[in-house]
Amino acid sequence: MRIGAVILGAACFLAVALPGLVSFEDYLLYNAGIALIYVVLATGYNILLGLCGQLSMAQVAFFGLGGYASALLTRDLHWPWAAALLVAALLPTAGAWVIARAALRLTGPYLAMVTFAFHSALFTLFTNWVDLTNGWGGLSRIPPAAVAGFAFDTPARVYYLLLGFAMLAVALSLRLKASRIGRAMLAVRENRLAAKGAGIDTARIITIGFCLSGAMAGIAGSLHAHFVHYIDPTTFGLPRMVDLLIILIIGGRGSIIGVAVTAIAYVFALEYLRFLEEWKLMVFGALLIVMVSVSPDGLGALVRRLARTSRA
Amino acid sequence: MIALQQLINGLALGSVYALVAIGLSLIWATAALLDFAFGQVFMLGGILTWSLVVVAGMPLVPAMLIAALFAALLGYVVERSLYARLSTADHVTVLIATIGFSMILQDGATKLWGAETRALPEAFGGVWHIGEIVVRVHYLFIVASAVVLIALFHAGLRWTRLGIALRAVAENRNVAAMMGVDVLRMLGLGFGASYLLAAMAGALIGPVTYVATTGGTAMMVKGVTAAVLGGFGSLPGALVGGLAIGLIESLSAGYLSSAFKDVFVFGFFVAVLLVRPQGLLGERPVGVSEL
Repeated sequence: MRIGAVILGAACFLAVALPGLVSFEDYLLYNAGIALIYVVLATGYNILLGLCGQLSMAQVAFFGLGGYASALLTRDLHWPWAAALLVAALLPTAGAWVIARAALRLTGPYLAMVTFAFHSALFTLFTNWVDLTNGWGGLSRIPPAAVAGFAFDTPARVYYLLLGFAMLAVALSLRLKASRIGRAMLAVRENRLAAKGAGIDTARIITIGFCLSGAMAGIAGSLHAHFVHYIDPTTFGLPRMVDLLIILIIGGRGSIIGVAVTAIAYVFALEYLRFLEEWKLMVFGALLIVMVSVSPDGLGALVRRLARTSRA
Repeated sequence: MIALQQLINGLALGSVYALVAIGLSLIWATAALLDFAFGQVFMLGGILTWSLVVVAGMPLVPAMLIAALFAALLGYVVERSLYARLSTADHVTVLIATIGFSMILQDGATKLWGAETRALPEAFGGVWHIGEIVVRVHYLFIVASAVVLIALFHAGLRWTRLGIALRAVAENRNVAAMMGVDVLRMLGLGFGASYLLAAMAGALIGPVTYVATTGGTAMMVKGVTAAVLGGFGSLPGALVGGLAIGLIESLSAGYLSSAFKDVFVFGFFVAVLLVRPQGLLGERPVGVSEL
């Protein structure tokens, strides 16, 4: 455990020092930014799927809702970014609340399909409501994030902004997991009936899970829009949902650090395995099947199990 | 007049949705899993038929049957070799495995056939004029084929030895095994039969919607919506759900907005779930928790 803490500390130090180590124009810094956005997105999803055990396929839809809301409010209505960010967090929260209320009675595959249909419906709005979203053309020239006149307009500035949000997301999730609500979430995941029997308000816990992960997805969406300065429907398509599932399965559902680290590793792996691009879906499809067959609790659990066997 | 026109279009579309929904329901009833790759089987049915008709020069109907038989074989093999291994895993894990399989099928098909959209010729070209209504003969062929398939399926499940064994497995696996039913083989056969229906659906609708390797996912959403709407696991429910979705889609495209027809379908779906979580014809809520 102590070794883990040292590695984590070193990683945090490296993350903070990164802009000083590489040149600001470096593509590495751009990828690091994307990776940090994935950390926020995947950590939010981890609360719902990892802690509560609810397989929602709507996470990327909320990501898109946040992205479009934030982009349109700042670019067309000239709202300050902080206010737009608030809307980008609240709008998906409201959407997640509605989905949660409708989906509370559904379990397992039903929930997955209803939320999948929700994603399809929202994706239709992104592509077909051309007056608002410009359809497949997407929204370009999205202004950089700015707070009280301070614009996050250089690579280093925006990197630190994203790093701050990613660390905040991880820290809050760790705090949540250790809290009373987090334990209730785990109880719901393990056995809903037993959780109910133990006096947990399961409906409330699941609704909280949906709303929190929706809010985090919306924030990630806003960060993404103002980081890349351009969004279109493909940013929020089904492949991104598959990315999230892979990150959670490899990182280990419910492991906050495992998922955050995997999110970063996944983005960089894709970047440096460009030759895989053509075979990406097939390779990751096979990877998903192998992972759930061999070690449904993630790569970390597999390594620990192997270590235990070799020691014994 | 337009209403009647839309009604006929909706009926043709709805009977295809019904085939997919019945297949999904059968898998749910026997193997108790939701197969995310099911939409890709629909896609394979369409594109295989296209290959047999356009590349190999076969007539449409035999090509459809060959594609459907191939899909049935695929279903049997996949269940025996992959899904059967996950029989003790929880729903989320199994569903993720089927998502992985779905990605492999879609991407594999795109590698083989390319991503472009292809036209499939109709079984019977031409149109009928009934007063002011114009009916494409192929639409009637779709409805007739679906009716025949569903009737055969129903009869097979009801009166043949195999069908009775399959229903016994759906009712209670352990008791069925004690009565001498080869449960494992039945699960494979259930998958095969379901995949056959999905592939037939893909081949039937192909001439109307065109065929592309990306078309499976959307059909999956529609099929599941129809199955859940009717009451998952209930075959009559799947039929009613499929027809309802087809009609709503066609009518809202005709009267409201064709760009947003999916949004209307989804709205109706959520409304039904809120009022009647077991679906329109479902007797008891399956996969529904009152907690």
